[in-house]
Order: sequence, then structure tokens, then C-alpha cells
Amino acid sequence: MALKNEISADGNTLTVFIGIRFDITTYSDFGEAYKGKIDAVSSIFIDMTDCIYVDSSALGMLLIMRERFGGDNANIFITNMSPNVTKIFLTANFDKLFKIKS
Amino acid sequence: MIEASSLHILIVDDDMPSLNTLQRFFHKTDHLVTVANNGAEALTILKKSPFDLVISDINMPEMDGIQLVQEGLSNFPSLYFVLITGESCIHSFEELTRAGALTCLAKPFRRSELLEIVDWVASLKRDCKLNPAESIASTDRKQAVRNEKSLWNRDQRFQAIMNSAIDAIILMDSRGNITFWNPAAEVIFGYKMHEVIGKDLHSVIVPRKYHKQAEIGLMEFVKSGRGISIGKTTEVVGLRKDQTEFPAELSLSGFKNQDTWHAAGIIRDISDRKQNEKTLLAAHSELERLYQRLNQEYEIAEKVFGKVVRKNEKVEQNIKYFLSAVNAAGGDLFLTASGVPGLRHILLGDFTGHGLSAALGAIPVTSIFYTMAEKGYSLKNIAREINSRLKAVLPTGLYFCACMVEWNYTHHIARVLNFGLPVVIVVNSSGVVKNHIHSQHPPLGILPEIDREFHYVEVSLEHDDCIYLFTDGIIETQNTAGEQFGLERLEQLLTKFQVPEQRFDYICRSINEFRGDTPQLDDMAIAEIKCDTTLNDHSLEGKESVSYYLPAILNLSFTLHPDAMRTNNFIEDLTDLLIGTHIAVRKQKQNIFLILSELYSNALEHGILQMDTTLKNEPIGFEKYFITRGEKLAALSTGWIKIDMELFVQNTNGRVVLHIEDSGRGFDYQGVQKTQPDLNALRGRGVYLVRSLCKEVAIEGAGNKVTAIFEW
Repeated sequence: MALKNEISADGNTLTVFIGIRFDITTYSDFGEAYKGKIDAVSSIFIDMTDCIYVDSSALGMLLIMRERFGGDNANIFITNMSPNVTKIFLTANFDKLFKIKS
Repeated sequence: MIEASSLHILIVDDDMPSLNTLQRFFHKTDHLVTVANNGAEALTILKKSPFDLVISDINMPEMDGIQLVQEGLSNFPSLYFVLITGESCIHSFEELTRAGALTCLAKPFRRSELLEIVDWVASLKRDCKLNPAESIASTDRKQAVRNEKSLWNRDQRFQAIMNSAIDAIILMDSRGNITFWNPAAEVIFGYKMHEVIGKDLHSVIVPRKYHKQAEIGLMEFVKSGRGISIGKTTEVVGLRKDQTEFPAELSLSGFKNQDTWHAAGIIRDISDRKQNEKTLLAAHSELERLYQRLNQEYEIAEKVFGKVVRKNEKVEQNIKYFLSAVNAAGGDLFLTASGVPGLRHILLGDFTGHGLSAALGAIPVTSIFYTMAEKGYSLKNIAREINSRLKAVLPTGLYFCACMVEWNYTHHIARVLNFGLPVVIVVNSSGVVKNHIHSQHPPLGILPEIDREFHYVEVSLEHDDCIYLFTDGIIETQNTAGEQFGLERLEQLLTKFQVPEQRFDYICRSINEFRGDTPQLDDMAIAEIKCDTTLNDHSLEGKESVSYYLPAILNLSFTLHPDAMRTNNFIEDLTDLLIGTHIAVRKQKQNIFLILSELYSNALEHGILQMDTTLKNEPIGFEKYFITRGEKLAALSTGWIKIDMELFVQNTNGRVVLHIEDSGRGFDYQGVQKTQPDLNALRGRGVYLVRSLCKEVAIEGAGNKVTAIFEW
């Protein structure tokens, strides 16, 4: 099922809304959500409001997206994570790779 | 009188057929008749011999009847003139007699009528002869004219009534024969006057089956002038010339004329009325039938509705609500459900209209709300989904005004979304209004998407603060005087009533009292959510009914074969199963999911599918990895994964022991990282995460057995 995503009014920001699960089964949908927009936007928001279940493949997918958007130059925000999911990210030291916002 | 009253008569008419008819009228009489075609000819004839009476048509070319009278009288003063008037006669009786005519006769007329006049003229002449003085004759004539005039007027009036009546007017003599038949009778029965005059009335217009009755009635009538139908209006059956029967209304009266009883009847054709009665009756039964059916369908719908729209089983003590529907199935809705722990979702809404069509919309809303809330979706996403569904399902013009509140018990914050309800009011324990939250967004079901810019209004709450949600049915409640309850009155009640615990009941009572006996016009709903800082997660969740209950100590064990491995939701379903057992486990669902998911993926991908995990190193590799995984999984025909779980829970603490074994070859686990992997490394992360969460992770056998112990 496609992940909801939207571009901001000024065309510079892409927001992707993650559903309840972010795991291997989300792989193709996640890719579809940002495909073709790599050159168009300058920052990306990954909205985790609804996300409850996360595993390592999610982390892998985020890394891949980061790489595609320029690696260290990528401007990616992970937002609205639940406390448990935040813990997982911090354990993996992802706060060093992505900007985390609540 | 000694002499026979035979007159010398001149008939003048320019119309030959009329002339001939008139002449024929006098065939069997003693009168001597001469004819003339026009006025000039008439005068010539008059000069030649003495005449007594001139009967002339008025409408003639060159010299009309009036001129003839004037000319004639100036030459022959003792001549009597009778003028025949047609429909188009523009002259009044006044005019004609002033011109000198004795009287007029209006076409159409009967022979007998004409002959009566002629007899009268004859009698005048006789009287005149007895009194030779011309002055007396002329006085007589004047008097005669006056009498005649009043008679004529009466006659004209009579004619007018008879001719213009819509109902048939028929006169019958004591022998049972028709003596009078007006134009309406001609229309109603189909017989022209000349066809029925003098005929037996009953055999003409009464259907055969009633003849016997009629005869008996007639005999009685002739004797006494009385009868069952006399002096009354009754419904009868009439017979037309074409022998068809029709329903009729008959008003019958009797009058005496020269010692014999005559009957006058007025007959109205009521076929139309009868038809209308029948139609009305049929429409009425149809209406009854439809009403019955509607009632039955309504009953069924109410039963379905009752089953589908779940009642709120678990409403906390700090939430009160009052719903009143006009019909049993109402369009106002109040729902509450728990979202993620610590949150409660509340929805109060109002479908346009009321009754069944409004209530139908409640079914998808309820379904979406409960399903998504249980799955942990955020309020905004629930709203989004409800909006899309209603937009798709409801016809244009129907929509859902609603307010949704996300109540956070831990932090005592409420987030409010108002989609078209009048206003949401927040009141503190002293009755001071803290917030008015107005609607900033159209109701649900109108826009294709909820406005991006639409955000929650966040309200921080203190102990005993109350949020009031209500539909417009509350405000628009009317009393017997037609006044509305109104927003001001509601706010006054909220602020003036000083006992917070009883405030809600007081408001509900006030609304009912205000309405009194006036019928309820619209569905209404009102809810109060009170902030109680003494309540927290535990006390609230403890009151929830769990969908299935297993002992706090359990063992689960199952084996997956290739088909089961192909189902996507497996780990999620397994997690749901576990967290459904106990509240304490529920809190750990995300961690439990992660551990299960990682170990399972490990067993599946390493052990069964034998994937090369080095592929995961590069972005392109990851893509290839994913595709290969899918292909291999689809093609899988042998292999198994065995999962054993032990769950121990005590109060808020617990432990999950998880064994996973697969039928694969295993792997070199000695080299598995125990330290944190490179930040950018794509693989190895999963194992690291599991290790970080678990008390213990042990790999055994050939690498195809893993045991993990997770405690909290």
C-alpha cells in the first residue's frame, strides 16, 4: 500500500508518512515514496507518528535513502517518533546521521 | 264567442326553411296563412287585403322586423305584430314593444307556444270587437303588453335558468310522461328534447332493473304526492341514450298543477365524483401499505444499526455523555477508544439530517474509528480516513460535523480537532471558561483531503477542568414558545453552576426541562470530559476488557513451513497475540516486535533462504537483496522454522524467552559482532539491536538455533 507523501507549497520539502510498520515489507513502498524527487527537494521529513513496529531493515532503508540524497549533505528529519522507537534509533546512534524532531 | 277564432296571418321571414316550418305549424288550424319573403313584399301584401296578425322574423335584410312593425302600424294601426327573435337578437323586449310589437317569441320555440300566442291575439280581437272604441283597445293593448312583458320576463328568466343549469331538469306529469327536458338533460342523457317529450320517463332514463320499483313509487306518488324519494336527494343509476348506465344524484320534488301531481327532478351525473372517490380510496390503501412496509424496513434497519454501531463498553468515570435521537436510529454519534497507552480518542459528531439516512453514515465512521484506534493510529490519521470514506460514500449535501479529542492521561493535555461543530468549550472547576475552540475546518466528508494546514488545538488541563463537546441539536432545542435554547444559555449554565460533579446532569436536566412537551426536532448529543489528575494509565487500562485472556504464564510453540513463511503479517500477528495476553506485555510491544522480527528474519534469510547478506552493503545491493529475497521466498518448497516462546509476567515486570530454530545449514556465528557496527554499515545492525535490548542472546548448534531472553 502506498505511503502517503506530500511536497510542501514551496516545493522544497518532501514529507513521507510511515504507517504502523516500518520493516522489510515496507521496502518497495518506501522507495516509491521518494523516487524521482531526489533532485527536486532540499529537505525530507520522515513522519513516524503512526509507526509502532520498527526493525533493522527500516534502519537500512533510511540509510539507503540518505545515501541517495547525498549522504552527509542530505537534510533528513525524523519526526514524531514514539519513545520506544526513539530509543531504538538512539541505540543505533542514528541521531548522528539524521536530525530527530518530536 | 259566436265567431270562430280564425285569423288572417302573414308570416314574414327571409329564410325559406324557417318560413316553411312556420307555415306548416298552421296546417291543422283554422287560420289563414300567407307568406312573404321580406318587409317590402309584406307591406305590399298587407295593402291588398286585411290581416289580423303579422308574425315576422326580426333579422331580415333591407327592412328588418322592427322597421316592418313601424311601417306596418303607421298604415294599419289595428294590426298585431309578433316578432321572432333569434340568438343574435340585440334588441330588448322593451325596445321591440315600444316599437309597436305586441310580443316576441324567442327561437327555438314550440308550435304550441306559437299557437298560444295566436289564440291570445284571437281573444284580444274578440274583446276588442265587443268594445269598438279604439282607445280602450289600445289601453287593453298596453295592459296586455305590460302583462305580457312581465310574463315574458319571467319566461326569460325561467328560460335562462333552465338553459344554463348544468344539471338535468326534468318535469314529469301524473301519467309518468316527460313534459320538460332542459339542455343539460340533453347532454347528460343524450336525447334531444323532441325525442323524449311526452314519452314515459321511467322507460327512457331508468335502467330496466329498477323499473318495478319505479312503477310502484309512481303509483303512490300519483295518489298522494308523496314517495320515498320525494323531497330528498338520493343516489340512483341513470340510463343514457347509448344504453350505458351511470351513477347519478337525484333531487326530487312534487308539485300540483290543476289537481294532478307533477314531479320535478334535478339530476346530476356523479360519475366523476364516484371515480374520484375510488381513486382516493385506492391511493389511501396504497399509502397504508407503503407506510406498513416503511415501518418494517425501519425496524430491520434499527436492529442492524444497533449491532453494528457498538455501544461504548468502556467509558471511564471522567467521561459523561448524553445522546438523544429523534428516531431510534440517530445521526448523532459519541465514540471513545484507547489509542496507544496513555491516550484516549474521543469523537462526538452529527450527521446532516436525522433518521435513518443520517444514521447510515455512522456505520463506516464507527468501524474506521475503532479499528484504527485499536491499531494505534493517530487521531489526525483517523480523521483523514474518516473524511475520505465519507466523501466517497455520502452523497453531496450530506456531511458529518464532528469534534475529535486526543486525551493524554499522562501529561494532561488534550488535542482538539473541530470539524464544523458549533464550538468546544473548556471550563475550569470554578466555572471560568478557559477556551473556546471554534471550528476551523469544514465538516468531514466534504473536502477530498483534510487541509494540510489544519492542526490540533492543544489545551493543557488542570485537575477538574472540563471539555464540553456538543452538537447543534442541543443549541437549537426549542421550547413551546418556539425559542431556541441557544449558546448563551448553555454557557451561562456551564459557568454559573458551581458543583462540578453535578454540572453535567444539571445541564441535561435543564435542556429537557426547556424543551418540555415540544417534540424533539433534531438529534442531539453532549459530552463532558473531565481532567482527573489522579487517574493514570494503570487505573484506566485496568478497566478495559481484554479481547482474549490467557494466563500470565504461558508457552507458545509452533512451526512454520514455506506457505506460512510467505505470509507477510506473521510477526505482527504474533506480537499482537502476545500483547493481548496482559497489560504489562502490551507496553513492551515495540521491543518484543523488534526482537521477534530480527530473529525471525535472521532464521528466514540466513537459514532458509540462504541469502548473501553482504549484498546489503550497498544501496544497489540492497535492492537486489530485496528482489532476490522475494524470488527465493516465492519459490521455497522445503524447510521449517520452529518458534518457542515462554512468557512470564508478574505485576508490571515480565520476561520473554524466545527460541528460534531453523532447518538451514547455520552460519559462522563466531564472527558475529558483539560491538557496535560501523555507523554507516548496513548490516549487522539487527543483531546489535537485539543484543542491546535483551538480557541474553545465545547462538547454538550450527548457528541455526538462537535463544534470546528479554526482561523488563
